[in-house]
Parts: sequence; C-alpha cells; structure tokens
Amino acid sequence: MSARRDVGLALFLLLHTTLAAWAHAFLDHAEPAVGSRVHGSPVQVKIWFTEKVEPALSKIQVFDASNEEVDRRDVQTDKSNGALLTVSLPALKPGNYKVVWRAVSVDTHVTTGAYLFEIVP
Amino acid sequence: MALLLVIVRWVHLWASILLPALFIFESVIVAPFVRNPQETLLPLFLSLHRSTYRFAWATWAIAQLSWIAWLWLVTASMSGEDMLACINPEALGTVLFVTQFGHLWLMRLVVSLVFGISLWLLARSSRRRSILVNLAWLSLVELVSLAWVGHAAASPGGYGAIHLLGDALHLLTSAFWPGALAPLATFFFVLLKSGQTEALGMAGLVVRRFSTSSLIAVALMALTGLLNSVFLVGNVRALLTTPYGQLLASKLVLFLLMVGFGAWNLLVLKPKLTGDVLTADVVYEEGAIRSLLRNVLLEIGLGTGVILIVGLLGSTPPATFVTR
Repeated sequence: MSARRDVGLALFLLLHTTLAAWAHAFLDHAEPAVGSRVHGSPVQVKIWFTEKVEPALSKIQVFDASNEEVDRRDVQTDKSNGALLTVSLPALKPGNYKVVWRAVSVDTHVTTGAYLFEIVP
Repeated sequence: MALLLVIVRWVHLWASILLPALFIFESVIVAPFVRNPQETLLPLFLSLHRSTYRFAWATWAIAQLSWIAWLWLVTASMSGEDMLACINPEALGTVLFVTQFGHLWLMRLVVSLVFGISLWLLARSSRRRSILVNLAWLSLVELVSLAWVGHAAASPGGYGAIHLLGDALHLLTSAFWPGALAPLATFFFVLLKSGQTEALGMAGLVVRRFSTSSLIAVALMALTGLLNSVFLVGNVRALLTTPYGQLLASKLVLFLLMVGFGAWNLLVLKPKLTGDVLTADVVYEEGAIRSLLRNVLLEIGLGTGVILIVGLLGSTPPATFVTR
C-alpha cells in the first residue's frame, strides 16, 4: 500500500513539474529589440518565435505610456517564415512603449509575454 | 486543463497505435496461416478474427472520443476562453478552418469515418482480405498524421521537413512494435484457450514472423528516435538537465527495458517453441507460451508508460528552445 502511494505521488509530481513549463513558441528575437532604445518611430514590430505560429489566433499589441493601444491591429505572419509575426505602427512620438504578445504555435500550445522599448528623438 | 490534455493525448496515441497494429497482425503476421488453414485450425482463426473485430471497434470508439476531447481542449487553450465558453461557433470555426490543427482534425475525421464504414463491412463482406488491408492502411494514415500535431510540425526552416519525416517514420514503426504486442498477446490467449495441439504448434510459426518484423521496427524506432533527439534535445547535457531531456531519458530507459524483454523472448523462450503443429508437446508448448505471454504483457505495460511519457513530451518545451 505504501509503495503504491509512493509511486502515485511520484507520478503526480512528475506530471505537475512538467506541466509547469509547458510554453512552446518562445520569443527568439524582436525588432525593436527587447529593452532597446530606437531613434525614430519604427514602421512595425517584428517578433521571431522559436516555432511557427497561427496568425489568426496570435497577436501583438503595442501600448504607449498611458496604456493606450497604438498599433494598427493588422497582425500577420511573414509569407516566407511562419515563425515571424508582425504588426505595423503609425508614426509614434518619443517615449516608452510596451509590446504584449500572445503566440499560438501550430502544435497548439499558447505562450504569452511582454517587453518594453523606448523611442528617442 | 494541461493535465487533461496530457491524458487525452496519451489515450488517443495508444488507440491510434493499436488500431493499425491489430490489422497489421492479421493481414501480415498471421496471414499465410489464415489463407489456407487446416480444418482443425479454423475455430482458432475464427476466434482470433472475432477478438480482433471487437477489439477494433472498442479502440476505434476510444480514438474518436479522445480526438473530440483533444479538439475541445485545444479550442479552449487557443481561444483563451474557459472550457464551456469556448464551445461557440466562432471559436470552433476559427480553430477548425483556420489553423493547421483544425485542418488536420477534419482530415483525420474523414479518414476515421471511412475506417468505421470499412470495419462495419468487414463482418458482412466476402472480400475480407482486401478490407483488412484497407483497414491497415487507413489506420496507418491516421497514426502517421499525428506527426503534424507534434513539435516537428512547428519547426521552422528546411530542417523542419527532415524532423517531420523522422517523426512520421517513428510513429509508423510504433504500430509494428510495440503496437503489435497487443494482438500477439490476444493470439496467445486464444491459443491457450483452444487447448488444441495443432493450435499450440502454431505459436512458434507466428512468433518467428513477429520477431522478424519487430526487430526491423525496433531498429527503425531507435534511429528515428535518435534523429528526433538531435532536433529536440541537442546534446547529452540537455538530456540530463532539462525537463524535456529528463522525460526523454526516462522514455529511453523504458524502451531499453522493453528491448531487454524482447531479447529474452527471442533468445530464450522462442527456441522452446517447436513451430511444428504435428509434433508439438502440449504441456511443454503451453509452458513456453505462458512465459512468452507474461513477458509480452510486461512489455505492453512498459509500452503504456512510454506512451504516457510521449504525451508529456508533447506538452513540454523542447530542450533546444530552453537552452538557446
């Protein structure tokens, strides 16, 4: 009875330890880069993920310092690279901006994240 | 919900491996003996057909239910809504018609329906042999297509195609081994229940054929498994220090244990079977078959553990992403 309980507990812990790290499409790199300072307003935000993503269910949002969404809401994947997600931007004023992303990889797993960048004159 | 998804993947994968295994066993392994059977062996083969038929229906039903559950859980996850709120035309429609998973889900549903109709016809048609072969092919297509739900399908770049091919081959071989262990165990049960001398003598002949196909399957499984490891783990350090690597290492340990049992069956137990329906000693053959059956059941238990780990691996970020 004790051995069965121990095996059961081990399996339970194994399942939960593994499930704690279930994210898949990690951010590989981005433009503007994470935490960067850019001169002039970028035309778009580009995020390269570690896996191909589903454009219909993935999104990138860009918020200004007063938490207003400022992107053009036209998220799409690059035709030649299914792991590259982009959203275009209007001309933005200098200041701090926050990029919030949600990626649904084609193997069905969902990841989310956020990072900051700054526009300087 | 993540835990539910692991369980659903595990159940569906087991069912998807078992279905082609049942028909590969009947249409390939025992086929030469069924084509022109001795009259005294007809009851044995009829009993085997009936067992396969019932087993197939039950497995097919489990596969369909788990596939529907998989869609439900994926829709909830992808849409970001809870499990009840996600059951709406917009969320389901987006997943089914716009995502790669959805397209695959629909394709496999069609193949499953054709499979179900063919299985229904199996008991009613005189063209049994050709239907059996069709059932084997249809269920293999369903099994191999699961590669498009795994990490390999999400790998970007040219190497993604090689990875996907390796994954598909890995799935294909699993139907031959360990999948075919289940119908082999059923065959032994049927043999022992018959108690016929001629039936017991069949064991050696069938095991000989099974050994050949399973040896090839184990070798291919090891090669394709190594290829997948290169893409998803990368190096020995990651194998030992990352969650994905540790799970894969556990899978490897179970795989080696299974190969050990298989080697014991091949080198120690199989030579005890005469394979001669005329001169088989009933008591001796029964003893050898019972030992083989026990080992096969142990292998199936270990195989179930391997497939559970595969379900976990599907929900774990590959080590090559974590260590980048």
